[in-house]
Amino acid sequence: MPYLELKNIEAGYQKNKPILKNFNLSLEKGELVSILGPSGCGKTTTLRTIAGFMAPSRGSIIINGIDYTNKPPNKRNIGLVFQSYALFPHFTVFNNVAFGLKMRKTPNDVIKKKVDHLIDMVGLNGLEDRLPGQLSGGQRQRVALARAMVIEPSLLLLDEPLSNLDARLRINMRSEIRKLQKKVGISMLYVTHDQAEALSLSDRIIVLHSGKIEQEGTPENIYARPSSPFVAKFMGFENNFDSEAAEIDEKNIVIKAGSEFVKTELYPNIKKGDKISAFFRPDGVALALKKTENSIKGKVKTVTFQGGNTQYFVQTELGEFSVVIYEKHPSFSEQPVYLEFPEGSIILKRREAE
Amino acid sequence: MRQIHQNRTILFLVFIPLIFIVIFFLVPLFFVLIESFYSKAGRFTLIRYINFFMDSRNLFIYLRTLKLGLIVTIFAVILGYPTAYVISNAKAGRRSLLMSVVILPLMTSPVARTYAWLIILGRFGLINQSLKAMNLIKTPLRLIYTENAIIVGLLQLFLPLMILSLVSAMENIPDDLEEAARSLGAGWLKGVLLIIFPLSMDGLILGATLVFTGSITAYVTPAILGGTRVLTLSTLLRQKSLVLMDWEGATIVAVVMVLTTLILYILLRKLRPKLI
Amino acid sequence: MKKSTALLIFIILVYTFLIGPFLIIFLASFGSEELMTFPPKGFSLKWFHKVFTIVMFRDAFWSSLKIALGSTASALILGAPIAYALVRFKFPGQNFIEVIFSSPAIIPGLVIGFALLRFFVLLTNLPILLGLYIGHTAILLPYTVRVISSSLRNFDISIEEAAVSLGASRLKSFFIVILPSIKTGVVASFILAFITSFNNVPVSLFLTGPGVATLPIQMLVYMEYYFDPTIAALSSILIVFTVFIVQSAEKLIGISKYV
Repeated sequence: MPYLELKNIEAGYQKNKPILKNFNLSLEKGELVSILGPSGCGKTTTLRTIAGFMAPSRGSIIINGIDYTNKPPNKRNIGLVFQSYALFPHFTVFNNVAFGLKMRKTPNDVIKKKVDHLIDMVGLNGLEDRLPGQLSGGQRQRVALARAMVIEPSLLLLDEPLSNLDARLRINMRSEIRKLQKKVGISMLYVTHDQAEALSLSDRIIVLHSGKIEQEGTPENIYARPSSPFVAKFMGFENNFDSEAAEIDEKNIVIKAGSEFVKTELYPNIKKGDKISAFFRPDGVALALKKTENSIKGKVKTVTFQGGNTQYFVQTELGEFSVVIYEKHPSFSEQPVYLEFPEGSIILKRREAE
Repeated sequence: MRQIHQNRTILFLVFIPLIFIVIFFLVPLFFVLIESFYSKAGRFTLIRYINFFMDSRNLFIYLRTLKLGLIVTIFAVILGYPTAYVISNAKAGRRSLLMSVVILPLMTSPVARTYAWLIILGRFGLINQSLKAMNLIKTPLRLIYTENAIIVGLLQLFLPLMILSLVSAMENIPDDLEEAARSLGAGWLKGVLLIIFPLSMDGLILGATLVFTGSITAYVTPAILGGTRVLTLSTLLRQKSLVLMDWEGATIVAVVMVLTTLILYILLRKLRPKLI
Repeated sequence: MKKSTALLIFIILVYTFLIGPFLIIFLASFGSEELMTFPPKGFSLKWFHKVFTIVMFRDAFWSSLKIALGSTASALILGAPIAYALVRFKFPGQNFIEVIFSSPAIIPGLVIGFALLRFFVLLTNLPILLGLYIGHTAILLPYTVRVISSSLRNFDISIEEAAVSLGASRLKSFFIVILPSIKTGVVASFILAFITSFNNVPVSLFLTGPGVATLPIQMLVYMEYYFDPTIAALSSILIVFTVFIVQSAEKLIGISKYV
């Protein structure tokens, strides 16, 4: 039996318009699962429902075999890290972290020991007496983490915890959160709209799209094999074209690309003659001056050097595609080129009959 | 060069309004102030103030005014706090309705508002008639021209100010904080006491300042509900000036009122917490 | 939920206390007896009729309207440049200006009225209406300055700078760029100031004189001599108007945040 289980949850702000409908989710003990999706997809609703701030109109929430559906939030022992951190501005760092323990009437010496331990763990030694207003964004983030973790919650929920930090700090905090989670062995549900964040720290990712789970799997799996156009776009497969499976042998599928043909890996559910959509990443393809085996003809329309890489917009008979090449200087100008597809760079999705 | 240009703009903007307020506000007040401190012979003196407070009737009225202000403020806090909490947590539509009703007493003609209390508290008013109908009393109780009547009237007028300051303070507290407290195990009441109360202290003190100073300087309410029987500083000022034509005495009352108000303002401002 | 029921009952009681008296005055104004009683006996509209036949009320209403409109307009015209200077510039004496223009709201109105009365005695032959108008303008200034400054603070200064950089003069850009974007604040301060003036008693108390009185003062005078429901009827009319203005102002511009 999974550690956390949401069964047939229906929840939302308005009665007749639930954001989550018949929603199921599970999480194993010690697992870090990310819920990934654009804003409005229902990730925050999921989190607030688990935390107890939103009552589901249907379904149940089970943690460790106990029904939590009707428990008030203050009796759930679920840690929550807010996007805004929600630190108490009138309490010092120490008192912020100690808050949950005080609510549990923990003896003072135990509080001191536990809080000191957590403050040490998140690296805030020496800042115990500061007020939140005197801390940097990264430090506040750490206080929020320590405060939620000190109560030894049965589950830690994080709501876009890094979205208010600058890019460099965000990357540091990512690995720190992952390390902390591994060390403590806590179960975490992590909500984000940033695919890089989800990919880098999760055991498993759940991609959410308008209240429904679009795809679920390991980061590697989701990154390489998105199962729907939505996930494909979200994972950076920005280019797509309509096509048809022309030929299938034991190893490859050959698909139509306008007046030409390219081949890619096999897809078990695609048969010859199927109408399909093909997706590829801007940085998954190459450009060449001469015709090569797996390529189509095009013409460079714009060249934008971005430092470290160059972005080209290439016009082909299938439409305009974005191509990113990692190079020190742009190596193509506005000229005819061939767009080359390395093995496995194109993913396919069967189009339903129209 | 730019600086000169800018100074000219500022002077242009400020000049006429400043002249107006100096002539028609500062100078008249200043005259009153000066007059109260100088004897007819032109020497500085505190004798009028000493005489004012030595008169036990004046002292009694002064202390009564402060007492009424304090009681009204305390009730405003007790009634205003839960109300403000509900309003600040209400959804947009309901919130707007609740707020527009709250400000109604502030916007209504003070004579009309106070007159309503005459109908309720009067000799043949709502309360006396109801008590009589229930056979609890035979002769009407005297409810108007009492301190309690003034308190009730002032409370209706100034409770809205307390509610408004509390609501605006509470709305500056992110909802997240209360939720964070709850997720950490705090019950509803603990959340309010530990998070909302200290963080809305600023609004509470601002509200208390407005209610207290408003109450001790209000005129219409004590004039109608207290009459000449229960005088306060403001009705005393009117009596001394417009009825008894005792301009010297009235001047002292006026200055005492201003100084008391200003001192309260300054003291209560000092109490306001400074959050970083 | 126990907590919410208890709170709900509490709130209903508080709101009953705040607006219940207005309902009572409304009911009382339909009574038919000469002496004010509650609950009223009989039903009659005669007190409403009487309100309109009493000449002193009619005259006082017009005086009040004239004074309120005039002083509100003046307070806006005098207050707007002050608000603009306070928000846009840093200059020596800024604090002083800010304090002076907010102090008529802190100094008790009764004292302002008293001081003005003593001052106007020096200016012999000052018409009563003019005195009232000046006094009201002085006490309205804090409202207009405060509300307009807070609107200006929310206004993005770069929009004005854009207008100036495109060739508009400061004065022109005030009228074509700033004013339209702060019009909610201007309307709010107009409504607040108008109501404040129209309802004012403490200042008017000292500045009215033979032949000229404002409506609230005239009502107080009437109450000293009569205890019939005429005042209840007049109050009802005023309350209905206030409710109408407040409700629409709250819906349209959220007046409560400017109070």
